[in-house]
Amino acid sequence: MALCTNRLQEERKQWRKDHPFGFFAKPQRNAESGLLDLKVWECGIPGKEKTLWEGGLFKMSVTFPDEYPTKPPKCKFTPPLFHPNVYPSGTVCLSILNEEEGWKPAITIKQILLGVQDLLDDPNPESPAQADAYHLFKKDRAAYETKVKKIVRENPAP
Amino acid sequence: MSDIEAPSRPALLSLTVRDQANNEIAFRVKAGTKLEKLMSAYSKERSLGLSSLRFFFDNHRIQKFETPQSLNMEDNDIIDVHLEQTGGCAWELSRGIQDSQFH
Repeated sequence: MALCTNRLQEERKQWRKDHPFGFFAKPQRNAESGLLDLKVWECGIPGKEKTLWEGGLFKMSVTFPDEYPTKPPKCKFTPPLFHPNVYPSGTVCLSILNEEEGWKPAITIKQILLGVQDLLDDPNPESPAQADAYHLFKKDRAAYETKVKKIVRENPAP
Repeated sequence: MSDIEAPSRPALLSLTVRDQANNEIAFRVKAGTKLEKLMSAYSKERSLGLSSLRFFFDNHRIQKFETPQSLNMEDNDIIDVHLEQTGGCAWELSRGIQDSQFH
């Protein structure tokens, strides 16, 4: 638990000093106590330039378990995002966020957010997490792209 | 537990303004001085009109009257600066110009 808190404080410190342009990542403020809750972060991921997702900013909550950094955090788009590798709940399905696959305690929050940004334009159709986006991506690429563009317009970057 | 990010704030903070192309300009500012001063200094330095720039800290758009203190800024924090832009091409549609005419 102390390890978790120390690590998160250090992550936040590093983030404040240096973070990729257009992203944000900050501990959530508890609505009742007004204090920061280090274990739940509000993050924003901009769509990458020169991709379908350019111009969008997608909000994601990142929740850290007590066992972090031994175990990975859970990343969830709020609201859920139309994407083949995002569950209907909004949870992101990505190897580096899976304890049994690619998660390593050394992975930083910056790397996670950049990884999710990469995933936006590079979905993995071999491992779909939601039916809607997956079927459209496989069967009607033009309709998929139209839909993504609409989502970008609905979630504009500042 | 007190506020985790309760800052130990020196009298002068160094704040870095970074744009989309990762160009940076660092400023030394007093914690109690309105950020309007930093924003106009940046716009002069870049020769860009202040009204065409938008400054963000932690996804919060900085207002002229706010100070590093009021935003809980710390030494070495980063401010993102975006160029003002408006998307869309409603004027084309209103003039009845079709998309195809542009290709």
